[in-house]
Amino acid sequence: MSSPGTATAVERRTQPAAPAILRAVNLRRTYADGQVTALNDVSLEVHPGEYVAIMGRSGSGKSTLLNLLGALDRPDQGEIYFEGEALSKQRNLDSFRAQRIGFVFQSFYLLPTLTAIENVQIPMFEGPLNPTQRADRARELLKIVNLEHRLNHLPMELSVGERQRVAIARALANEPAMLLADEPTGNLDSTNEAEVLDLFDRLHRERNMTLVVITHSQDVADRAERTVHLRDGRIVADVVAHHTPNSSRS
Amino acid sequence: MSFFSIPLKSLLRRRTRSALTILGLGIALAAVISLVGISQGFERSFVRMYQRRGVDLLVQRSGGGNRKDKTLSVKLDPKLRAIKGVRDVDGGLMDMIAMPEFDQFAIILNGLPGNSPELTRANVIDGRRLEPTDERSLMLGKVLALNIGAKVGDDVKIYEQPYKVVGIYESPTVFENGGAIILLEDLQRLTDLNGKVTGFAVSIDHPGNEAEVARIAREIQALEPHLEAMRPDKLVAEVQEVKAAKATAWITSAIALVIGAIGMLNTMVMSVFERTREIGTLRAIGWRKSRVMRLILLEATFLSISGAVAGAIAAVGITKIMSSLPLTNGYIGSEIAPAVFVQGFVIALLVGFFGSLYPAWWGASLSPIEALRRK
Repeated sequence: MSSPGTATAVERRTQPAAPAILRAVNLRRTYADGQVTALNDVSLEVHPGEYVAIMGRSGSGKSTLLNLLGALDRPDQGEIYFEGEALSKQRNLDSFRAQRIGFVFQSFYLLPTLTAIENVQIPMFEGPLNPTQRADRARELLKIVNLEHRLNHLPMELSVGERQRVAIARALANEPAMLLADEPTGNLDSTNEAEVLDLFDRLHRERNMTLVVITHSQDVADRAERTVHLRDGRIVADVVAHHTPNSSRS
Repeated sequence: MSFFSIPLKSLLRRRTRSALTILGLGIALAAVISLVGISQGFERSFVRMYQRRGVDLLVQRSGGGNRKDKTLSVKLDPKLRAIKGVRDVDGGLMDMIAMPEFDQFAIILNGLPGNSPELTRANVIDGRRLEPTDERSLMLGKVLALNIGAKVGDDVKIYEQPYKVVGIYESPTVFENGGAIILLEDLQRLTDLNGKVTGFAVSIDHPGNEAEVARIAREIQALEPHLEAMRPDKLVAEVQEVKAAKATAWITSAIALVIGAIGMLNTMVMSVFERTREIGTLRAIGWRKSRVMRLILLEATFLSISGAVAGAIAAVGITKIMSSLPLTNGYIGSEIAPAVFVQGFVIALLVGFFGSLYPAWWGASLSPIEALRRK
């Protein structure tokens, strides 16, 4: 049997011509003073406008990889290049996350005291917009996620699907280069899941948004153009779908 | 949405806890403002009393402390008058008496010579002034008269001796309103201090000339080795009772403040711990540590300001009540100097800042991943 991560185990995808927006090289991340290896020798490229799903069982290293790709954590070994620049050389990762990455979490993590429109403005405090511009932009983003009628509702007054859409609008606040979503439909029923996935499709198709979605759901992964499979901290498959995201559904 | 509205909404969300913190800090601040205000008012009232009398220098026995006899001989009077530049000298004896039957325990009894300018200046609102021939008579301050229910013509017992009320006076200073005046000879007799005074109030020709004042003070002190001549404000600040009142006020205030600060720390720690995930989210989406710290410190600042406002209002109420109670209205005024309120606000902000510094630092220093993992 071939070992995971070797050339024979990984079905390599055809490389798009555009330079990678994100390039991870030989990432290794261990915990408990090196006793637990969460990621081992993981290399990955994501190109502008790609829709990539990262799949794997619990403990496969998906979240660790997402944390590294999103500059929430640093690898023990290896390097991540974003738009050609090494993250290890970035002096201010907070600013990098605020400006270049949009995060969508499984549990939404909206601030419960703020309304939808206010929650969407939160990342914009790290940007150049004044309060009026922030409100205008938040309104615009909530319109994109079809929540223009729920602007002044608190999270507790929204359905879980609506909350996740507010979180997606928040992730788009600073016009990031890439959306990183960690089990974005994990807390949603099938109807809300479909709504959120349709929204991802739309962002990808209409805005050429680069999407990296961590999931253990095949249904979610099926929407992506490409699925990277992780097992025991290694990439064991990197598969390009034989359909476009939209053609898979009719 | 402004940045300020985020911590404000967070506080409104936890109304009960915010209200309790404001209450705790408010009580602490009320203690500080009222106690310090009262002690400073105590001092200010004395100073004002001397200023109103046109006293430029007060002469008393130096050293203070626990010396039993702190009096001076009336024979100093002509020697003081003989100093060049001295306009007037008014010797008086001061005693503190109690009337327990009326719950009056700190009445200032002034013994003044029958020809004292202070008697001439007294604002008599009922009856008449004390005359040099008025033996075993007295004038009551307006508040004292009210507290003991005495009217002109009544007899009031001082050291078990009956004294006839000949007049009731009103003064802008709380001590005088809560006190009484008898003739110097009467008080000397009552206290077995014949020929003695507590001190001399000296008026001088050119009080604005500091060099002149200093020269006269030096000449007075040169008269006898134990003499001390000081400006009233400096002397009052040195009075043991005033010092003790101020020290007690600050010690009590410090205890109240420590409790207030612990309350603030507790609230902010709980607030930050409860919102670890929210803070993790803010950090994950790119908020800088400094912005997270500012958010938490701002929340504490809002609490502090609210606590200070509540404390200031409560302090005004407390002093108003205390200045109207018969037990205390003889020596507690209702006035609090604006500077004391400013001090209170500064203290509240400092308590808020230091009480929230650790939680703010802790919250801001959390790694986003760790914060998001917490339940």
